Amino acid sequence: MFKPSRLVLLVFAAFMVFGLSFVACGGNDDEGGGGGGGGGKLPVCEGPGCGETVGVTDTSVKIGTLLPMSNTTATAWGVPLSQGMKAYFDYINDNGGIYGRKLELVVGDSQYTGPVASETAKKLTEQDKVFAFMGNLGTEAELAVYTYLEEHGVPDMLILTGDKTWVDPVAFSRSRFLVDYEVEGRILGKAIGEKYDGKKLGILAQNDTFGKDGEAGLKLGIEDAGATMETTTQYYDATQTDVTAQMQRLKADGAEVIGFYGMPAQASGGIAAARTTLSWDVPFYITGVNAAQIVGALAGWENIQGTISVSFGHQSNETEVPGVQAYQDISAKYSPGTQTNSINLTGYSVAAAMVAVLIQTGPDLTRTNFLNAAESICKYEGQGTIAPISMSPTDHAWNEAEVFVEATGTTADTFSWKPFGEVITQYETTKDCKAPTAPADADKQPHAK
Amino acid sequence: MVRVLLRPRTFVMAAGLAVLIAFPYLYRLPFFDNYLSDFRTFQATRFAIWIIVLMGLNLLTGYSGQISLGHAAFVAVGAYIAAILMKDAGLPVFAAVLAAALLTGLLGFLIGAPALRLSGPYLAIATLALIIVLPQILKHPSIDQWTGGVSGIRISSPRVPASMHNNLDMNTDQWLYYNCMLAALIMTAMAWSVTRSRLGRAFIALRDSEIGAQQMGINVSLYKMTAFGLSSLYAGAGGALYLYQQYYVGPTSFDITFSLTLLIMIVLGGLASISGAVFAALIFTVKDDLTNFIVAHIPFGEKIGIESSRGALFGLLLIVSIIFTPRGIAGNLRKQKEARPGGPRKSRIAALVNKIGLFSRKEAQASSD
Repeated sequence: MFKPSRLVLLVFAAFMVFGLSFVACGGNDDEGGGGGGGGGKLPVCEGPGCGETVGVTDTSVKIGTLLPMSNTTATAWGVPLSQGMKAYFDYINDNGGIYGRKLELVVGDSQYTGPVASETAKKLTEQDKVFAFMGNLGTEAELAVYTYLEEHGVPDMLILTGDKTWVDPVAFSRSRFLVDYEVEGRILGKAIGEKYDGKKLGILAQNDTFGKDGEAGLKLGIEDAGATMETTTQYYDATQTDVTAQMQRLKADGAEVIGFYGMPAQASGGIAAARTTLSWDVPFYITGVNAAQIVGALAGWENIQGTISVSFGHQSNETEVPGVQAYQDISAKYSPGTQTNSINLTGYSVAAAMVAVLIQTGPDLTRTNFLNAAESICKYEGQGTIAPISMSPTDHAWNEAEVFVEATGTTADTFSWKPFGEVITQYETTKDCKAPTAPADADKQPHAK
Repeated sequence: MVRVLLRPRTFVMAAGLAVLIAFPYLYRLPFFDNYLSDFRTFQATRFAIWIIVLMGLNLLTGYSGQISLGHAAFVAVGAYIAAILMKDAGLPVFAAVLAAALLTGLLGFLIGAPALRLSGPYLAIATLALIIVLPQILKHPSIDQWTGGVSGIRISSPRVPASMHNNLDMNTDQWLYYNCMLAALIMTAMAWSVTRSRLGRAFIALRDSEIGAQQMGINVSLYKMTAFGLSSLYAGAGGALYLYQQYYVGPTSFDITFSLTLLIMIVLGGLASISGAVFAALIFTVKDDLTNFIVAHIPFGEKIGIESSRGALFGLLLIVSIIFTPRGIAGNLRKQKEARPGGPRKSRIAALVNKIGLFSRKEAQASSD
């Protein structure tokens, strides 16, 4: 046995002294402030990045976004989203900006992880001094930054995850762009219940808040449909890309229809495994994030035929919709060479919603004015959205409507997620609203039709 | 005593200490305000936390020669223990940090038991399994009332004590900096003393030749477990301080990439050296700033799609730095020192490089001769 040297003991003693100083100072006990975002007021905040007009000059306004720009998710999400945002901002700037202010996009790399996201959020807030954030992607990354942004009174707009944490409870400075995961699951679940009443539902869910919310939603949806269905659930972890084993167990358990709540890599892998490895032609209902071209390509065009999903927006190839045509035109001009797809369109839609709020705010741009304008949004029909969006002081969720889409087309050129049926709008929280008075020169500000 | 005080090294250390103490306030002076800010203080706090984590990993990998790919698992465990103690048990921060460090150390000591049987690549695989299964354990329904399941744990945000704020005009970022930097200094001093004690010498003997160490009367299994436990203690302390600064930890906060990056950093910084861990922490802290800087300043960057190639760029930087500093920064600095007329000291690095197998046996042998 070894003897600890005298120095080791000494160091431990030093540690204890250090601890006493902590206790004497009261450590972390004095709480207070913090989290007091509701009720149309920003929290008291002192220090860099705090204040009403941070990032605003007469000729410019700085907007930040936290996206994964340098890991495996960068190519799938971060890059197309940022390109979509940038294309729209460039278009606005080319047409004179909003009330004479050019929009400056600051893209911060979150690497899709908490430790990096929190550091980048602080950098954008205190060093780059952005006026607001928009379109932060990923639940894990946003969980690490949202309280910081709220306490600093930085608008945290149009969050690109469907977690309910962002809007429940409502914080004055925060709003969410994507449809609630549970609501989405509920819509899918209802459709399953109506069509497959009495059969056995196999749920394959990602083992995190996303998957669990979706699973709960699927079950609620079946109740909504008045159906009685047995369910069996399998989970996988986000780091696990091969879900063949889980599919096998679902098949062994006698599942007759699959509700899938996970990401594109596992969705496409799961469908391919069912069709080829297990020769199992079970119908699939998959969550909206998978209604993308890439999922068809990875699963195999033949394998994915007939798979049902939902979408909160128009598909990027629905050029008969004026908003989508405008998107195609603006992309071609300001982001040449970029592949237009639903992810890219989402980035573009986020930027368009941001611009709509900036126009509604008027020339006197402060954080409080801006956030009040966001709450007054009434029947906004943005680029790529399928139903009018209304906000209120108690409703900070942007997209709350969905439309069903079905995978059709067996080649890369003909494949698309084809919308069908009525747009489901029953989950829109703000049912009626009064259009706010538009600022004087609002109609002279550029925005895509 | 007087002689000790007059050594040049004492002056250097005193100056270093003065800089560390003054650092968070420097940005309030002209000139420095161009380069420093609360954000830089925040980064320096992270730097202090990574020093602690990497110091521990260096004790395990650099000194006792056991490779751990799953070290981040212990960082996560430390953060979770501290979070549970602060939130559910209402412990003050210090007690929570200390308890998290000790408990994580104990856990590491016990998990170190398989290390008795495994070595080299097999141990690496076993530790890799740790970081892969940990998120699933944290999310397990039987313990999710404490771990918060998939949502993780959020504690109240840290605040500078009123007395410090009023008397010293200290803000929360500065308060966190002093706490973490003090902990880093203490833990560094502890590592320094360990590596120069019987324990440290036993680790090195173990690394260089297990059979030789056994011959010398070293209890191989006990020392291997101790190395594991000690490095976990460091990881746990780092994780707890990380939680204090971040006030949130989730099951995927520390993933496998993070874990592997720790090992890469320690190799870049310099194995088996105290300053190596400090260099490693420095690189770890600035690596994203560095790649962002290069991305922003590279000519024709936009044409070659540099925005989406940051990962590849970082990989390229790694390869370049391994080519130019194969022994890590600390190792190469030491090599220059050895080349001076004062006479070389026996190199431990070469032996380790040999063991890890980064180079062909011949090359490594040549450099150790």
